[in-house]
Amino acid sequence: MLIWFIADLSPFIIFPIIWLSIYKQNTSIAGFDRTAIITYYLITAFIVQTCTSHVGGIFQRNIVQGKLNIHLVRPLSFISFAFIHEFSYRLISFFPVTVLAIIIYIFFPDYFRLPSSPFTWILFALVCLIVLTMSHLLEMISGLTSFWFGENKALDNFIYFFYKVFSGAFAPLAFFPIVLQNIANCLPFKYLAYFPAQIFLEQIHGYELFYGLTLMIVWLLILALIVSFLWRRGLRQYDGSGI
Amino acid sequence: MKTIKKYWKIYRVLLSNSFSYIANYRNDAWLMLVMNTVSLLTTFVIVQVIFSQTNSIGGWTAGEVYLLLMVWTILDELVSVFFNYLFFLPEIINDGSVDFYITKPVSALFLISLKYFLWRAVLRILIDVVLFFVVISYFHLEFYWLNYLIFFILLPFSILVLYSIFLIANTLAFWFQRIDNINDTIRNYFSFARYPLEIFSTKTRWFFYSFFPLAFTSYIPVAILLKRLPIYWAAIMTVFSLTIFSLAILFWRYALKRYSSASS
Repeated sequence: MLIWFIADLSPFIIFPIIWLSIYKQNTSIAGFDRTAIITYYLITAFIVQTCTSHVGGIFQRNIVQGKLNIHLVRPLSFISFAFIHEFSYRLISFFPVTVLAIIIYIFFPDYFRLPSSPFTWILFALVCLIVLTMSHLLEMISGLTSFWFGENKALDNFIYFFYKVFSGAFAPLAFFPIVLQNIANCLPFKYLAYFPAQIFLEQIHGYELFYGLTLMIVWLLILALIVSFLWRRGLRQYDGSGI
Repeated sequence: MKTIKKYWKIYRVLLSNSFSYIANYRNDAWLMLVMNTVSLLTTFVIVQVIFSQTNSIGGWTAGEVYLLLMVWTILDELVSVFFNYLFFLPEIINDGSVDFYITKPVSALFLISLKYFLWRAVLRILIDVVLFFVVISYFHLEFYWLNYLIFFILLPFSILVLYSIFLIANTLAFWFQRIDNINDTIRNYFSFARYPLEIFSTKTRWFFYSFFPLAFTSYIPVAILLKRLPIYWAAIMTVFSLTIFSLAILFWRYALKRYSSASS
């Protein structure tokens, strides 16, 4: 777990360094000053570590190896089991990441901007829960395709690549060319990193905030419907091989 | 000479076995090709986003950064192609399969390192090499012939450095059993070499030239090619790569004595 933790942190080390080298020439880029960009990467690192699900592989293995049979006869549904499993794992990740964030804040206060309003803290916490659920649903969609294809590595990788570019985890979407920003606006991925980070940085208010939250909930419902559909159809397809 | 012939004969058998293996998974090979191309495109998009806000990073222009990125990608692929089985070392130490290699009348490290040639990645490398020349042509990069020659001579030494790092890291599995993901971690951090080291502070750069020697992978050859480093760095890199390779071999030999053969 520690090695994965260290591995996952690498992009959040290199990209702030690259941007800081660019800030030697500019004081602000697309509304982000030096402090805002560092805070942005720290917050996206926090979100990636604590709110990003990796449950797709569990679904794939259970379906392909026939281990799903055991879960089908248990009183707790496999979907609930997977969510609790992932939620516990993320809860464990929460503590080292939070301690790391506190240490960074103590030693580098100039590079970490905290929200001024308590409302922002509460909203950010709630949005993080939605992010975890959305990420979990996306992973489940990838995993559930194993009912038909067996191996879901390709779809899993494609979802990851879209996530990588359009979530804003590697650079704020405001830095992207307009075409890519428009594509990102049509996809659910920006709600997994960029939008929560904007909330934390208090860059989004009023109608824009309400509109963003509404769209986030809409995406959550769409993803939940897709999962429900795939699960019901998939179970009909499932032959329990591997018994 | 006789030993070289013997090992070459064994390697030809390993190549043939690897080809038979990959022939069973042709669809997977195509899928991986598509995924790697998408992955490379993703990195291109990220670099493009960076350069949409600036003309240079660490004093390097877009063309120079793309060149560095392509060289890193090619080196990374080459290491995966030739030494793929080395990444399974923690797994075979844990399940005791190392027995199988140390009881053979050839070097165990030779067998473990070169057992599996990743044929499916050969096409990817060819695409990467084409992209390398496309970058040179598109950005009108021009090089002095001597720097070009030294650049190509240094590439095998870059691979040697990467191989040595992966060997040292995977050999740690003799002490720490569950470190299967160490390769992803190393790859993630060594991929910092896709960007010019000038973006880092002087202290960090010193670290990248010594304890965490990512400067000796793609950075130094490309910096020499672009005349950003004097040519004598080629000699430093040669000495460094041979030294780290020797240390990696010594560490492997030392670690092998600790092997307790879990399967026996």
